[in-house]
Amino acid sequence: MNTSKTRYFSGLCVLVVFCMLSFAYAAEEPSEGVEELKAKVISVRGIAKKMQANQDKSPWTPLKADETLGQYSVIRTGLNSQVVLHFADRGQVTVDGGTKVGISQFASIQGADGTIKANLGLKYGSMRLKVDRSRGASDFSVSTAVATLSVRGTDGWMAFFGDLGLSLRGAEGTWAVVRGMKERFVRGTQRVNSALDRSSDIKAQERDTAVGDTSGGLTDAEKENLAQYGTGRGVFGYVGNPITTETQTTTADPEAHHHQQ
Amino acid sequence: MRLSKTIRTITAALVFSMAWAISGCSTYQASAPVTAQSVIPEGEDSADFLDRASELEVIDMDNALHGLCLLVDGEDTHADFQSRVDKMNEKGLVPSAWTLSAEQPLTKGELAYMAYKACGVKEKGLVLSLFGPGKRYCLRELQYRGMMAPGGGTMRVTGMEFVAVITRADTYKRTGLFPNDVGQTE
Repeated sequence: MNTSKTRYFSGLCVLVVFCMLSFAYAAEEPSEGVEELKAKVISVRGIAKKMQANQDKSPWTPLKADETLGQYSVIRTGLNSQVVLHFADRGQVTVDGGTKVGISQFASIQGADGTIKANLGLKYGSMRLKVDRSRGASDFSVSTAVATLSVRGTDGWMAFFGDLGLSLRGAEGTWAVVRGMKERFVRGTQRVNSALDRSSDIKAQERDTAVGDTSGGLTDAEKENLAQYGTGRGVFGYVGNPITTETQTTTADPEAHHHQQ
Repeated sequence: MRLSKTIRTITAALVFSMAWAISGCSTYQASAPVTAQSVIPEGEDSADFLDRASELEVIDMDNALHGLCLLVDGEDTHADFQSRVDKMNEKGLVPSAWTLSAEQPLTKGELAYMAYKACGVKEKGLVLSLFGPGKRYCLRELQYRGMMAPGGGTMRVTGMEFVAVITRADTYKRTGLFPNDVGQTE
C-alpha cells in the first residue's frame, strides 16, 4: 500500500515538474514578431569607441555622430567625453565620460501596440536615461552587475562603479530596481544604492545631514518628507512644506473657510 | 605527575594560541609586486585605458601614472615608467621622496594623494590646511567628499576602483565641483 502511494506521488511530482518546464519553455518562445531597431548617435564629444560583441575579434572603432547602433553594440567613452543616443522616438541616453555600456536588445514588438523593448548593460560609468512614454509603449531596462533597473516612462541618472556600486537618482516618474528577490521603487528626487536602501536612509547616512532619526521617533513617511524637502519638524507639521500645504488645502472644508471670511 | 601533565597541556595550548595570534597580526604587505600585470600599449587613449584598467585585479604604479598622465594632460606621450615618474615629480603630483617601482601595487593612500593634487582641490579640512597634503589626510578628505570609497590607506587599489576615482577626479577637474553619487555635479 505504501509502495503504491509512493509511486503515485512520484508520478504526480514528475508530472507537475514536466508541466512547469513546459510552461517556462512556452513563455520563452516569442509569440509575436520582433523587429530589430537601431539606436542613432546624436552627438559625440571627446573620445568614444564602438564594437560589435556578437562578431569575433570585432575591433574598437571611433564612434561618430549620425551613426546607428544595433543590438550587441558596445560603446566606451574616455575622460571628458559624452555620447547622446536616441532610441527611436521613445528614449534618449546620455552616456557620460568613463563609461562602458552595451545594447543587448533594442527591438519593436509587433502586435503589442508597437511596444519598444530596450535593454542596456552598464559595466561601469554613469548615464542619464530619459524615456518619453507619451509617444507609445516602451519597456526600457538597464542591467548592472548588482541589479536591474526598469524604466517606466521617466527620467533619471544612474551610475555603477566598482567601489561605491550602484547609484540611481530619479528625476521624474518611477523606476523599479530589482536585486534578486528584492525590489525598490524610486520616484523623482529619490535615490537608491546597491543595497536598495530607502532614499531617506541614504540621506540620513550622509555626514552633513542633520535630519531623520536625530529628531527621534520619525516615521518612514516623515523621514522621506525631510529628505525630499529638507524642512524642519514643526509643532504643527512641516511649516512651508509643499506636501503639508497641499494636504491642508485639499482636506480643509471650503464651506467653513467661506464662513470664516 | 598528573599536575605536570596539565601544566604541559596548558603551556602547549598557550604557545599554540600565541603563535596563531602573532601570525594573524603580520603586517599587510601592500608593497609586494604585482604579478602578470599587462603592458601599456603605445598611444593608448583614455577610453581604451579605462576599459583595460577595469579588468585588472590590482593597479600597479606604472598603470597608475599612465592614468594620471591621461587625466592631467589628456594623453600620455611618455615611453617608459621613469619618464612618467619624472613628469609627475615635476608637476608635483608625486613627491620625489617616494620610492617607486613600476610593478609596485598602488595603494589607496597614494591614489588619494595623486588625485587630490591632480584635481587641485580647494576645499580642505583643518589638518590639510595646517600641514599640507599627505596620503592619510588626502584619503580622508576624498572619502568625506564621496570621491573615494571607505578603506585604509595601505589597501591595494583594484582596477574598477581606479577607474571610478579617475572618472570622478576628471569631473571635479572640469567643473570644480565634487560629483554626486551618480557622477553628475548638477
